[in-house]
Amino acid sequence: MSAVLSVAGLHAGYGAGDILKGIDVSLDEGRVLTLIGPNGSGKSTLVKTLAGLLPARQGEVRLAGERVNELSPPKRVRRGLAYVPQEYNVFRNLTVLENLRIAHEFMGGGAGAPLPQEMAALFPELPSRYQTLAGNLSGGQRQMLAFACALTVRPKVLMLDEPSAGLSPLLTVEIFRTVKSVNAMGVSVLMVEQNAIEALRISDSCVVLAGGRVRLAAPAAEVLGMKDLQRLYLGDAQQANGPPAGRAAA
Amino acid sequence: MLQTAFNGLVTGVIMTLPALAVTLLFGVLKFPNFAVGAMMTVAAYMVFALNGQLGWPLAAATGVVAVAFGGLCIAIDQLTFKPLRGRGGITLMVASLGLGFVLENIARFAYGNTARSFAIELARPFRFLDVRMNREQMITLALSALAMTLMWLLLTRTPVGRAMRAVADNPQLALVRGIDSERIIRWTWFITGILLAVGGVLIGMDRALEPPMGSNYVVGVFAAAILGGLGSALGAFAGAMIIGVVSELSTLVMPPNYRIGIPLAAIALILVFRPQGLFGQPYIRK
Repeated sequence: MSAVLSVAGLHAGYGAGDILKGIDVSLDEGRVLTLIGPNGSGKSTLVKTLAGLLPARQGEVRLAGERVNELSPPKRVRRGLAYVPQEYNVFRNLTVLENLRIAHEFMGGGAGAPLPQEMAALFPELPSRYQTLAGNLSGGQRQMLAFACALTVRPKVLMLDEPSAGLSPLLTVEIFRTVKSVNAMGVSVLMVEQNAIEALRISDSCVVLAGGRVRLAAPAAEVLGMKDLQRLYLGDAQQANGPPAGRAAA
Repeated sequence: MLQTAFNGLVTGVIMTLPALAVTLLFGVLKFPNFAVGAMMTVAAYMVFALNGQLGWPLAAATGVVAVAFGGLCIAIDQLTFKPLRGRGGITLMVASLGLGFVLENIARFAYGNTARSFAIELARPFRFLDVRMNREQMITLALSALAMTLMWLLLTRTPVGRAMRAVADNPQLALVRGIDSERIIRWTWFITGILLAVGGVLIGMDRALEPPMGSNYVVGVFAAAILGGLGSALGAFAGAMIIGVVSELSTLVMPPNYRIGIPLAAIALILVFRPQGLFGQPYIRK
């Protein structure tokens, strides 16, 4: 299976120091890859760098074989790399319909309905709230709107940063169910998630980051089966599982 | 009193367009552009060059200059503000102060300090409900109403307008929704230029053309934008109306020279009690 997104030797950060110190990750077409790791391990920095919001200082990012390092975030989006940030992921002062229209118009949708039929089926609550300000939606509804915006033009890869953050357990289940449905539509998913166990259950593979480096890359089922997952998750991966696994593959 | 209130309404309407320009620019670029006054002055003199010197009708001269001034504002942004973007709102604000000095003195250098006026026919004022209205005031009301309607349509009904609001709401998210923010910034400057050009002509019709004509309105314009809520188009309109009418009505109870105290008091009160203004959103640092 070919890699739809591949990252090699990626360095990035804020200020003088690097947060990402040579990341290698590969996401195969049609798969779900979950990134886990302790706070400050570089998970969110990685997805921001992939989205183009933070420049890569070294290394290469390829989307469907094309190098995208030099592309601006809007160009990456139009190439099919969609990103849903953890917070502030909808335009709060715009209505639901305006949020969808913007996504449709600027992500390359052209003419047509702002919420395609299959998306309306996936997010049935949205049409009834078209005229509601996005800032007035509940956390779960906002997350659904953010998903719908990112998916309104079918991307090759959907990157999600902590999609279940701040949501109730019931909504978390709903969010992961939606991620699975999105993946079933053929969209590859790269997900950063604190709720590791739930996320791994719907993932094909897992990458553990700690200290800006890949500590472990393994099939999700294998990671779920590890007795010392808690230690692994807390950043003790190297001691728990031996040396770094090198290039991660989904 | 009714006459004073009407005069205040016209003053408020005149401030609406520059207040809208301030709020639009603040929304997208997050800095207060103190060059608005001098920009209106320059645009008014450009219209004067076509109307007063070349004999063009005022409407045609205003239309041509509005579009040209929109383009000039894009050029000003590329030369002055773009290199400073990313250095914070304070840097851009200081740059706008410097730009204001330069522009106002270009107008002074070209036309001197003598007051001038547009070449428009004199018309007899008419009365309605015991209120005396002149033709310039009616043109001001009509033009402002038209400009506000067009702005509302632009911001709510067009992709560019929605994108401008999106960039104002959350610039980072706008990028990952495919919005080219530099293109939107250029659009914002273009529209700002049009608003300021028309605003400059309205001031020139109401008063006279002289180098400080725009700067004289800056305090009122900023008071209107802050009172309404920086970033809110509706707020700019409401703020300008309130400041205009209250400033005029204040002359019934205190000497007209102290009228400037009204916008200053409004700025102080609103910043203490409701910093986001009447229609603005509380600022959330992202």
